[in-house]
Amino acid sequence: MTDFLLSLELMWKGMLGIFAVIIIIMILVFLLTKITAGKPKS
Amino acid sequence: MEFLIESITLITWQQLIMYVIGGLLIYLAIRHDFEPALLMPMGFGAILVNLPNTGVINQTSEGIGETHGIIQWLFEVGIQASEALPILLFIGIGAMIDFGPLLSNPKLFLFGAAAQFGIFFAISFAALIGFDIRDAASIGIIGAADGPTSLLVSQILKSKYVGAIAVAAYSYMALVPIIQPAVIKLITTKKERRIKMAYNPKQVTKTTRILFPIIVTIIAGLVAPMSVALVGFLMFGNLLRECGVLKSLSETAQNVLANLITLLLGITISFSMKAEAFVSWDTLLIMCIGLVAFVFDTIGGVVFAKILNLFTKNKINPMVGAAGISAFPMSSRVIQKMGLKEDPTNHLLMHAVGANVSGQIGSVVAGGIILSLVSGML
Repeated sequence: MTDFLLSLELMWKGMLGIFAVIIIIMILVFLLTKITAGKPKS
Repeated sequence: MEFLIESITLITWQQLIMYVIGGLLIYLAIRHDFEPALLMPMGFGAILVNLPNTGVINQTSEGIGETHGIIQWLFEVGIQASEALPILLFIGIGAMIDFGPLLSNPKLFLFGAAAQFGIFFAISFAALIGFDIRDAASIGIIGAADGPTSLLVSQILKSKYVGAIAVAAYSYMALVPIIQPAVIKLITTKKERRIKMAYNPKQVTKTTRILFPIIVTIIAGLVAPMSVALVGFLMFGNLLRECGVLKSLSETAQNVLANLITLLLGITISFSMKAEAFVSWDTLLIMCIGLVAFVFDTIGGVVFAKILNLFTKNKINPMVGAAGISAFPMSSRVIQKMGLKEDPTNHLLMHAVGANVSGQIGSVVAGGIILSLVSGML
């Protein structure tokens, strides 16, 4: 049961961590796209 | 003449089962094209390491002493000691990925996070049926749909089920075209599957493409330091591709390096498929939990898309959410095919590809976060 409770903690913290990383990257990409708009595309 | 049949008399029933499993993997690889680059070497390796007194693993012989076996050496050096093989493979994978469809529609990033849900669901499921947190986390990472990440995490966590986890991870990746459509149909309506999404890609500048791998590495490294080996090498490969001045190195990473490591990786993993460790009920359980992980990855992505649709004006086809797993490009192809089946004018490919490459980032970040969190719990 202890391991199951730990796994629930892992689920909560893990999903939070992944979303945190992904959302920060997403916001930075949005900003980067705005900042570099108008420059020649690849 | 006894020496001619000595080895035959030493074969155990567990080893016979491993010959059948090895044969099955080779059959699936050749006949059904299931991840042949990995399953074929693993199948052949499973036979090699299970021959009695096999010379591919360390043996002690009378009069000679200990002799070293090549597969054991490859495993100890390339995976156990440094995790070098799976990590180096990420350079090749990074060099192969075009993040363009994702960078032109950054909203798709979110699906790369949502579709990792199956990992954590599977960890809880494994813990509930009796695996300790170390093994449960190693088994759950099968849901990353990413063979090298599964290998790396299970190896760092020192799970005794590395072989079964590798077989499950690569087998289910090959089965994505069977698993995902069935799950998607169960949890979506025909109307939802027919939602059309306009494709208006924004321009992606060279600067964005170059800065992207650097930003991802720094952010992932700061939030989940244990993910740096995975994310860093993936993004290093991508930087080789996008920088524009290392075309030769990029091509080498995509072709020679990736092929060479893949060639060695499959046969090296087979060291963990020795009969005494592999033939057990736990292996069957791990295969079942791996399937649960893939199913709940798909559910996580689809349900998240449905939730987003409650708040957004431009509706997202929920099937695109399912492409947020790391199995690239199988998952995006599956979604494109399903979209066209529901409506021959509904092209979802580029949206699905965006979600799919986001899943590649999401899966390695998930691996790093799991390593960080589990090491704090042990």
